[in-house]
Amino acid sequence: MASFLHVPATKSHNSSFTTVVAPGLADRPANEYFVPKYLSSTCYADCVANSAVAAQLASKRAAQATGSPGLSAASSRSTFGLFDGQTTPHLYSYSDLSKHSPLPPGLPGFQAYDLQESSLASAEDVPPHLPSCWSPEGVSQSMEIFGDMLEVKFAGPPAKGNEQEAAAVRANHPIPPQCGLFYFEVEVMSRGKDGYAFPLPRTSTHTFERDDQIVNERSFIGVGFCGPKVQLNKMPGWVSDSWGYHGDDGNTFACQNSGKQYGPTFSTNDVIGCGVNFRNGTAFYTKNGIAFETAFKDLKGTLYPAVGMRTIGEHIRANFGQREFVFDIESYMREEKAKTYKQIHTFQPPLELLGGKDSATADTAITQSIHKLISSYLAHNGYVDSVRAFLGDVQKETNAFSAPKGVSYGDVNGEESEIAEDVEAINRQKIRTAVLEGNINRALKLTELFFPKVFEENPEILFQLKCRKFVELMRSCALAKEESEYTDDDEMPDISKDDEDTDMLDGEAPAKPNLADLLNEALRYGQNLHESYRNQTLLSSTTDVQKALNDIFALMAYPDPINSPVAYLLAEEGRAPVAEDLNSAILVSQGKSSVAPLERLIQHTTMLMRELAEQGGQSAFVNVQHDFLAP
Amino acid sequence: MIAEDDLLPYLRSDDRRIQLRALRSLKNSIIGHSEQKAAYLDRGVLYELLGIINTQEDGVKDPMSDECRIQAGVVLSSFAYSDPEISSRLLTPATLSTLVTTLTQYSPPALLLASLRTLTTLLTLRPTPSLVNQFPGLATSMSELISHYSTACFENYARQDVQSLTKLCTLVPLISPSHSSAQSLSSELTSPLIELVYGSFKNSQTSGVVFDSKLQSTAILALAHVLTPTAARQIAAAGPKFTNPLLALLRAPDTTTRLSAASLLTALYTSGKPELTSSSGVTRAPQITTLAMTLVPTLMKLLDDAIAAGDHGRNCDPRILHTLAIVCREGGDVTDRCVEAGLIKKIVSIVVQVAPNNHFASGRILERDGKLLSGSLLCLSALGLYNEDYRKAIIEAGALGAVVAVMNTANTPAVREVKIAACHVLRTLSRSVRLLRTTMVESGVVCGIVDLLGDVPSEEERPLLENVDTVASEPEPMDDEPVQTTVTEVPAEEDDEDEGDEEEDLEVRTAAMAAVCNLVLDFSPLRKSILDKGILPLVVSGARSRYTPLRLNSTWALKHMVFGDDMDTKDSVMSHVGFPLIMKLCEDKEIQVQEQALDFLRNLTARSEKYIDMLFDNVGVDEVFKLVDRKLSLRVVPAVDDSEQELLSTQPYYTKVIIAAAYVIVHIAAGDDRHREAVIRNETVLRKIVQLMRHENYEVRLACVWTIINLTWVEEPSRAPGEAAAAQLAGQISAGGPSSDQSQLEQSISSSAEIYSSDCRRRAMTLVRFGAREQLEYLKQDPVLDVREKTKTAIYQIDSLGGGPSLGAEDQHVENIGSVPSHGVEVAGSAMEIDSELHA
Repeated sequence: MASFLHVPATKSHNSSFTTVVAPGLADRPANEYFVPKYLSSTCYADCVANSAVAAQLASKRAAQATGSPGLSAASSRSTFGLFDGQTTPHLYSYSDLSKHSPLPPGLPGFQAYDLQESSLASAEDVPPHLPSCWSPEGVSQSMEIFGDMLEVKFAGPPAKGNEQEAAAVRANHPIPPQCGLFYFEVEVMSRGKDGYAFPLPRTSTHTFERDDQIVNERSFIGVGFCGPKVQLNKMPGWVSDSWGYHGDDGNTFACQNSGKQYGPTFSTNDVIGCGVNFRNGTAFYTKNGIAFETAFKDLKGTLYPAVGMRTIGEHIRANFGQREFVFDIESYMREEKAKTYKQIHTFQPPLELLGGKDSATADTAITQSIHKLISSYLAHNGYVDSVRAFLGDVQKETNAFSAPKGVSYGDVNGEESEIAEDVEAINRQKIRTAVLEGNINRALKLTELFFPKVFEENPEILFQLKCRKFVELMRSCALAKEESEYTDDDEMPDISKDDEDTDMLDGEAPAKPNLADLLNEALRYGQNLHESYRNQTLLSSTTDVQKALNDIFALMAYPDPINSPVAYLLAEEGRAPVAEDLNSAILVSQGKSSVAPLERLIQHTTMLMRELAEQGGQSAFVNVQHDFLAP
Repeated sequence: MIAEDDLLPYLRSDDRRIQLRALRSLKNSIIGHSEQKAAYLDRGVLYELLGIINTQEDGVKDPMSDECRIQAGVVLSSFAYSDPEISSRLLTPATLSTLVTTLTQYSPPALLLASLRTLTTLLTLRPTPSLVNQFPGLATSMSELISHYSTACFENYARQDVQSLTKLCTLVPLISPSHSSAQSLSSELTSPLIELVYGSFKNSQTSGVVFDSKLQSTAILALAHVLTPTAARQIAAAGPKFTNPLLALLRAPDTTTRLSAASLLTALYTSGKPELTSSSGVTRAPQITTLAMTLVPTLMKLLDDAIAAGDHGRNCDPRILHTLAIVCREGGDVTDRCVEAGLIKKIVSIVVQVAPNNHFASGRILERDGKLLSGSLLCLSALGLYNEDYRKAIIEAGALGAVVAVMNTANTPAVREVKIAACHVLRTLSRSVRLLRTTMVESGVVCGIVDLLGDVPSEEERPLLENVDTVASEPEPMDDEPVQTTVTEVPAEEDDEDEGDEEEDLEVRTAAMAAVCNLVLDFSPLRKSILDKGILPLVVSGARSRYTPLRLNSTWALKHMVFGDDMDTKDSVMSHVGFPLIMKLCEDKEIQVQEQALDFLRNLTARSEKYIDMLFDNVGVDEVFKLVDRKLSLRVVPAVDDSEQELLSTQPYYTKVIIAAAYVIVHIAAGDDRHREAVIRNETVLRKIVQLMRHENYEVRLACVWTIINLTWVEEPSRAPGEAAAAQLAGQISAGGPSSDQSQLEQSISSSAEIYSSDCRRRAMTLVRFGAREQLEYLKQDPVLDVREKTKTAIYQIDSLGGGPSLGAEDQHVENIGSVPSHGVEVAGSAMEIDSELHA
């Protein structure tokens, strides 16, 4: 019974937070990004994931180059080891830093993996880290860090009579404002020797049944955060650039040693949480999962989570998101997000910006712009029938509501010219569908047929398609092989739904190819590909032909590519970018924009939000991708 | 289309097609038109509709007739879905019985859904007596329907099935508002609801599709509502596969889901919980406390959100507060955390907001406000249950005014729950002697309480369904007639007493009686004013009730009335009660009533030879000792289906009965010589007492030692009886504080060492013969200090009467003189502790 408390339904460390691995720069050890669950839908998390994907690609290439493809996988496993719960906690004493390197080798999770090829990730692309453990460089000499770097104990010597003497530790990284909200919890494992528990005097001596003994427990522990230069011999909050909530009196301290009555005292077994909210520059605390009001305001600058202690035996364990929090921070996050959106929705931009002198014309202008965005997006992607239906509806609506007033919808009607290009759009749609289905042959033929100039003008698109075709062939092989392991039958079942279509068009692939034929075909095609592009560079593009070829040919190195480190190349998700690029190339060759205005608007907004979030503030709670575009 | 103004005749048409068209026209003409609805109701459309719905098929399936029934049902639900003024006009016995009969699998699904909509709307409107009690088949058909629609939902998840199932689950608490009716649904509904809830968990996990959260939360709430202790333990025993998804739901984005999970978890782990006794009293099983800790943040957050939502929490879901109340009754850390988070102030602010005095002056209270108020007050009473500081905080936050206002409000069905809750608050507050003596004196609570005790509902407040012809109203299920008692004379009015008493009224009286318990203690300034109100006959009639919680609390109140030395009150109590009733209560089927009844005797006989005589005269010496003997021999005899936990939870009460019985003997042994002789002559009881000196409970051991002390105490012959009483009183006081021990010591040593009494000596020898001396020797090592101290006194007295071991007696004697702290005839405290369980 007790075992499932505070534990979510599917409890495994992997599920409660996201770990992504990103090899750092050449001279740094591997760094882990921990994105706790409550931040998983933020822009920050997306940045981390993106940089991780980029880094992963880089590491794979690096691994390939050195001929040890297993290395990257091993590295990714080892970083999971940090919080896998299997490791026996070791006690590392950092009281004498001179004897230790900053990160001792052999500490689980910190196996250094030096990236040999570091060209890919530039410093700006790498998002800042979240605090994830205590810092061996930022700890008082009186303290010991141990237990996966999350536990801290006051080991002494005790403060010499001076009330002001204390010991503090701070986290390994400052809180990056672009995460919007940061929350961590500190569990008091022991209140130490001088923390106390005493029964309060009863207000009445008469009770005629069980009355609880009121025990007031306190500890001399403080939880908070501080700037990078704050001395480690003071409690958080007692000095400038430092904030804290103290267990002995329940007071909060903001950069001075006189406190303010805030909450209850805390002691052994209590879990104290501290949240820093960059939406409004405030901080709040929780005790045992219950939040109290705002503790501090007007926070800014570089802030490290910190804990201070004053007496021997005090012992805490921090949780930076590695485990489920006692407090429901995800609800808090949802609410903060809702507040941000409420503010966005209530914002009234100046009318002239909207293209109207009064609110009525502004509304009309907005509606028209939206209609334009939608129809141009549909047309861009070749949804011809949808464009027609949409414009028809718009027309009806306009007639119903605005026609008597004679408001002109000339702009909308102006889209007629695009409808006239139905045929072109339909053809693009066919090509896109073919690519998305993995039928690259059909896509190649259709493109040649309808837009003969495209490949001429964009050799890199042709190359990209050919590479994809090779990948699709390898994919067929891999799937066929996988399937053959489940069927005793020699004969292969259908491997591709569009076989029939392919047959009709080029008669190339037999209806039920066997594995050997497929492999042969793939090899043959690969050889051709290799031959034709061996010495070529595509001057006009940034595509590194040889590297791309090396990448995809790696598929042939594995007997079972689907379960190999390069399996990601085979993913169906790889088709969409190819289809997008091809569609854009066709559009450009037709003298049109490669991106629909709606997409451009999204790209623009996304970048703006990201820029804004760097300084913290509201925009950190807005994630265009997640909040509007996720399925 | 038929012209709108003459639809009624067409509704009566024998031609189904005409009827159907009329129904459709009616439906279209009334939707959204309150005046139309009112006009049709005036013209008696309700009975036409009910008639159509009631059309019986004569074995032949008639699609047209079904369609008419469906349309009539839909029209009816349209009438229900209006402003309360109109919908409350539908709330007639005929409507309810018609709707209930459609709740079967054989009704057309659309008709069923319409009926469910109408029923849930109507029953939410106004508190209605438990429909399950009125319609005996309802539980079974609900069970079948829930099973049927669950299967349908898991198979194809059709929208209409989901709606029907959701409404069925919503209906469960509505048809069984009282605790006992909810429990009576349990046997039928628990397993289909468990299947449904568990299915919803599995469905979400396997298909990845999020199960309809409204259906899931209503199903969870329905299950929590009908959960019995036995079912709760079965689910808890099934392990994490059921509880883990529930715990995960505590953090669901949807607040109703979070609340439902919290209330089911609360129900799971607090109903039927074992209460473990330790030497220091009652402690809770640790895992319950841990769970409560997990629930507190969720519930506090729900409450905070509701308060932040505006209108000062007036729109707060009352179930949040009800669940918090149950959780807070755990006491200890759980309550501390709630108080730390400001719960007392938050609740009082809601109470003050919802219950301004002028609101009650109108004598009306909205149903919704009522539920919120009762939840809030129950929560306050739970918070203060075990903690004097919190009681003080409740008073300081200003709750008492609202409580008194509630108590003095005119009785309406909506206010009933609120009054019960207010009684609980008063009871909690009255646990504080300080508050009893100060704040509560001026509060003006007395009238309200006494009114509730004697309250008889007036005619228009009579429950709605009392005169339904089709269904005979079920009498309150009662125990079989009294078990064999030593008293044959049972008051004649006994059987008629509760007839016509509705369960709801009994609940109010029970709660009021609980509030009375502490107010009638002898140090309460309110005691006199309550007694002056003529409360005694009401309490006595409560003690005769066949409704166990009321009987228990009434017996309790009687026990407190005879506590202390106010002989006038004792006289007046005895003039109303009579020994036959007490003896009957001593043999009550309910062990807790026995405990209170024996405590009554214990208090009555304390320091009062007069009442010992009265007891002996009225009941007979032999009968008294037979009774005590039976009680001292009590063993827990579990019923066949009792599980281990139930055994654990009743165990303490058996021990308490033994303690009470033993103290009756202590008190008789503290009487005059005749009384002491009566005890010493009763060998069976004496042997029991000696045996019980090895009982695991220290209070039992202590009572046995006191018996020995009292039987061997040597009275100074020079003392007049009055002086002896004074000495006894002094002894009593000395038990409260050690300061007076010294003077007592000196006084007593000098006297008792010299005086010799042949009677005492003989009694001491008898005790020695039964093995008391050996037992005392053993108790010298007792873990409890008090027992060790009293043992020394007893040994000293026996030994000084020559009953000590022949060898080394002299050493023993000397040693004892030096260390005996106090002795004398000690009546060792009367019983006045209040049970921690609420009886409502």
